[in-house]
Amino acid sequence: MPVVPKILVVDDEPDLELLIRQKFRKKIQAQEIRFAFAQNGIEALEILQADNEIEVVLTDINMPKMDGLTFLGKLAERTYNPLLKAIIVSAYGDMENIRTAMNRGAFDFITKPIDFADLDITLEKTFQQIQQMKTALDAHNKLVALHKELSVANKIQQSIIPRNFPTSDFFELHADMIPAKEVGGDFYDFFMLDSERLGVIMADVSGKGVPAAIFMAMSRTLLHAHAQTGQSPSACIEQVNALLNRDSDSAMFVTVFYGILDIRSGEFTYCNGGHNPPLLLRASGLVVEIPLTGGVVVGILPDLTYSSHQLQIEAGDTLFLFTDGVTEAMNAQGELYSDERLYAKLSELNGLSVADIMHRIIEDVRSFTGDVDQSDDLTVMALRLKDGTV
Amino acid sequence: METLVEQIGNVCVIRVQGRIQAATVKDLETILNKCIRDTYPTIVCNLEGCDFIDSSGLRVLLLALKQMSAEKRDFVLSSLNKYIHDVFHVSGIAKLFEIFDSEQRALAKFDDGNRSV
Repeated sequence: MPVVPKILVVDDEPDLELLIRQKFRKKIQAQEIRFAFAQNGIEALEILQADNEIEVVLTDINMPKMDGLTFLGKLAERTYNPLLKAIIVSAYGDMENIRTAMNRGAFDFITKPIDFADLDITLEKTFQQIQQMKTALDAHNKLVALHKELSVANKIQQSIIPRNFPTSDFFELHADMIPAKEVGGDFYDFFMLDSERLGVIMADVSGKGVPAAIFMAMSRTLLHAHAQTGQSPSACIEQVNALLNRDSDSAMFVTVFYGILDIRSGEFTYCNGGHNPPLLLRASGLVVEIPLTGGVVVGILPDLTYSSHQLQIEAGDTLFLFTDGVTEAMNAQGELYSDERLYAKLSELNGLSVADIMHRIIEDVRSFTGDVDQSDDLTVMALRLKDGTV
Repeated sequence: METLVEQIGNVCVIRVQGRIQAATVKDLETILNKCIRDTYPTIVCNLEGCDFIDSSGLRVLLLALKQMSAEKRDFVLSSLNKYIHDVFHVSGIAKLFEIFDSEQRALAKFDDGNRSV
């Protein structure tokens, strides 16, 4: 709803107020325009200080106490309504004062004696200009707010993702998360449960932006805390599912893969809550998918049960965990990077360090997508059991 | 993404065409909520024309399932193509829904034949 425009008329001529109220009577009554009046520049500044609805100032030049040109200068100095526009009333042919006024920021000028039809047109034009600027300013403010929000989401995500990779005689681990412009809610986690067992998590929250980032932080905290008890991956996910359902109104969910690797024996116990299955790159170069465990996405349906499965990881094998940001990355032709490409690439990179494998895969995805904006977070983790350990 | 709603006996059939993704999912959510409010004992969601679904789409379907189940009503799906079926399978939700090969099979089970207007 546009506000009724309000004009402050600054003039020491006693009859002007009466004249204006008379000439604009119809518009005033129809609530299309409002007027305020001041006798000089000082009075005008006081009124502007108190009333922030004034959009246009119509000011004479020759006035006592503070003349119109000085007044214009003062307007520029102080921070009134940033969209405030000044129109000066000058003597006919007084080019010098008109130029000074324009240089001091006047929006337009009219001459004496005042032609009220001309004034009406000038005011209309001025209001339209102000309306356009309001619209632009509004859009700008919305954009700034959006940037701030994205930045918050980004900070939340970055703060919960671990970047200090452990060094061990038994395994190599590396991971990375490259966020999309609008935070997609991916995260990974890793931790030693005790001297023999390494826990790894790969997860993806449904949704984007700040709500996803908050849900991600909640999920990660719950998973990490419940994992520390050392219980099986399925028991952990089952509890976290119950808690997320209880506390969360947002009806979001998170897909979670949680596995525990015995770094001495190579025994890997895992539970998959609706997440795209990780790949196992065997030392031979063969790539196999880690079988699903029938788990449902976590956090949206209460009373679900989960199961853990086990498999044997051998020395030299590499476990590759990732989110669908990798396989669903799209190029300009609308093609997806796909599982097939990932398998082939992974097989090719067999033997390289885990850090190299990860970086090369990310590189490959990026060169596939080319100039197309990254639409989802790219999250990857590579874990290898070192030779001579099992 | 387009949706078409048809009432067949005591069943509300929603046919979805196109991609169910973050940009379009609000429309599907609105239609589902309306059909849930109209007290049909059964809603059949026919995904024959649907070639893509992302997590926002899964979320909307899960919420509908949750609500309908809480009211002891049926919310079932039909005509999933291989890709959509895979997505349901990986996310574990395939076993939560009753999924039919076709709309006809779903109606055969739930339509009471009553054709009151």
